[in-house]
Amino acid sequence: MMNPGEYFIEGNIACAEAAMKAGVKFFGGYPITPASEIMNHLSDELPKVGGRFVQMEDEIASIASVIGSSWTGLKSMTATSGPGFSLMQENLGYAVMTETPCVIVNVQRAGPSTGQATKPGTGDVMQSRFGSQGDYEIIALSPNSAQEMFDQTVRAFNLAERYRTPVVMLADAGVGQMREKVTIPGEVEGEERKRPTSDEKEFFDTDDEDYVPPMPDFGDGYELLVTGSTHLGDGTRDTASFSAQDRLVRRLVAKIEENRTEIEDWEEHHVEGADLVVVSYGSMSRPAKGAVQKAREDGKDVGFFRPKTMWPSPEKRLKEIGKNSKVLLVELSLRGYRMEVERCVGSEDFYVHDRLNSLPTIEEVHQKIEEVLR
Amino acid sequence: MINAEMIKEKYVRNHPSPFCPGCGGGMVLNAMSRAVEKSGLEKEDVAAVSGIGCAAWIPSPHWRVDTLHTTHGRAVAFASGIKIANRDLEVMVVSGDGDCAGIGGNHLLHGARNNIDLNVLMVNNGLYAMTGGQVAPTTEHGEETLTTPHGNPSSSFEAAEVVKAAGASHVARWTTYHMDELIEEVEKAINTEGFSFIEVLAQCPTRKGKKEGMDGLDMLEWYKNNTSKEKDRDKLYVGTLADIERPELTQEIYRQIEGFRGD
Amino acid sequence: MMKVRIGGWAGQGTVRAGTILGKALALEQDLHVVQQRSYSAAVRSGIAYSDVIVDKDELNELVIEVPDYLLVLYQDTLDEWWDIAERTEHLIVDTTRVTDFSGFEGEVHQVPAGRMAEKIGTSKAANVVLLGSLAGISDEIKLESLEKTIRVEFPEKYVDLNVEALKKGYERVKR
Repeated sequence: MMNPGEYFIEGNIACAEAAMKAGVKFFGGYPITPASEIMNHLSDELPKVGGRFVQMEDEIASIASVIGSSWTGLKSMTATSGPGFSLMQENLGYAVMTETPCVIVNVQRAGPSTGQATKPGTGDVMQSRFGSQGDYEIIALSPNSAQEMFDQTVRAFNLAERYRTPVVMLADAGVGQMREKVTIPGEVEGEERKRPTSDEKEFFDTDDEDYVPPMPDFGDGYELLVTGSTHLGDGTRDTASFSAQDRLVRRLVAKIEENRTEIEDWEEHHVEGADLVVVSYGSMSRPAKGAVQKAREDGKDVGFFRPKTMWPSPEKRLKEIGKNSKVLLVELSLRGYRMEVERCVGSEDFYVHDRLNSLPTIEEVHQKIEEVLR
Repeated sequence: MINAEMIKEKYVRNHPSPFCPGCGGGMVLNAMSRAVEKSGLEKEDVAAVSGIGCAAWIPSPHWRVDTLHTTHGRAVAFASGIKIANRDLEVMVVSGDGDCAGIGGNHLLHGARNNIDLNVLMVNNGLYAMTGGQVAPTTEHGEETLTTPHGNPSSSFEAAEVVKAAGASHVARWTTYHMDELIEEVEKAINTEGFSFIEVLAQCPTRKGKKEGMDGLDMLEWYKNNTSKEKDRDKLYVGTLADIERPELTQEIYRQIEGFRGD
Repeated sequence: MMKVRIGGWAGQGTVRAGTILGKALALEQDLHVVQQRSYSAAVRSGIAYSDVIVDKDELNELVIEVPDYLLVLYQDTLDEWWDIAERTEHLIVDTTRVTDFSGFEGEVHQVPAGRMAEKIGTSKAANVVLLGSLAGISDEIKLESLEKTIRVEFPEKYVDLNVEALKKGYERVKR
């Protein structure tokens, strides 16, 4: 693990270092471009801080091992890219249903299918929200620099533990593989999961205002019943009753939905009353922001808005923006975040600059801004 | 004193049984409970992991230990995470033949290759019972099932032999007819540091017995007459198939971690 | 803003050179720096290059269309990038492996980096020789910051050799 200080490192390495800073003690993974640097680095460093590293036989097993580990009380994570993320979907839903804290890093690459393994893309945004079967909500973060690969990985662990839920880090090959200066702090603020306080027996239901039940570890003597089937508060499977399904699934959704103001995070500049607001995220948001700056230098009233939590989306803020300004979505995919942004800001005066394979220059985005303002 | 009442009281949750009359599932639960009791393990040090199917319901919710009822086929992978994260836990996996050797076959192979210290009970009834009795990788060639109405065009494999070849420390096969041997074998598995795999042939009177005119007892009788503890060409061998020492994954991982602590 | 591309054939240390340059500018000169690497699919063949973009302020340009400085260590790479090379301000080539730039109209900084490195001890240090030359040509890139970075970046037994390579490259263009 790196000492506190300034480093010139790749986003993926920053992510691995942040995980250790946040207290990760288990990594289960499978190699895949462009995410492998995370596991390569942790395979070397994690044992040195007392953490367990294991390379599993595939991505299905990787996330399974992570969930198993989390139930023993360890902060646990995996890292992958599109094809591996697809394989993880069923067990991602299992982590949602069983309320298992864990972090899944998806360093997105150009898809669909095998696509272009070394090229960036953000086509997995909807998959990260809707990829597993059934009704659920999830938390997904989007970093746009090597420093944010560090900062948001720490936050991913904190949110996972706080809300007893899987958290997806929706990085992309751009931020994962670019080297930048990263400041590694001495300590980071660490959230711990809610533990049972007395003789509680309900670990899958709660009347607490945050909707988060306490979570004991395997081996604590609670004779836990953990199941991906619909279950009652004590974990007993109930595959038939209306009340069990209704109470559980509504709470799982509410747990994210009702806490969204605490979870949502974004960056914005000059949004208030702007003629045009450029919405962008991930590595693509860098040239998008540069283009906004350039347009402002030309005297144009253009704002910039960057979601740092993709899910829950900054819905309310996007709706306000859509009411007052034209919106230009700039993204590194054709269908990445488009439906969600359009849903929030409305189809009128909604424009898109999409691109595949590689990042644009600032000038390319700037020309699009000019075109929209014309 | 180990008796039925005590085992039930200590190890079985008060929960209505989902198993059909004559099912072998309860017998497996009984055998596991007795083996744990005999081994001297504390219940809180036992974790049970299962996948999907009738066999997965043997530990969850019935067994009074920490249970993780997971997704179809992935029990060995989930269990591996538990074991590597906390090696003090004795991790049992209960999985049907379809769950374990079909959809979960790859995890089974690599669990055996890693020789990770899990105790896997593959409860083999020769078909997919919960979904109505479809063909499984353990169904004999030519056999009629729900999805092989004209006879099974595919062939079965011997999962225990496959696991043995993949490198598991401890491999055995028994049936629900052999309760005493089974209990002893599970206890042996608990005491083995490495991957233990016990195939338990268990009767499914509903999906398999019925079409062959057999009830649960008839099927136990069939196990008795068609298995042998000696190598016999006409009968299925029951007993230990492998008992070897090989490096075990969890210990190897901890050894490396402890190596750094020494610095 | 300054844009540097270091290109050659895989195995020539172009990414390493880019990392050293980026690190020196980011950590020693406290500038905003983004460095990106690109390999072709095969590990040991094909064009490999590293892009370094530098700015005093927040850096959002992540793409180099035409670099201000183009360092080339291999003929095939230059042939591939001819249109970029023609538009760049400073073309710096290792004449050990780049011999044909006859059609190029502007000034070409010619450094026999491979041969110079070989004299010092290993032709592998050609990338560092070129970095030294880059520091000699550019006002923004300081020789001392590169030297400092090399001292921490390389294993001890290669440090002196690479520092010498760096200085030789620097002196070559300063003369």
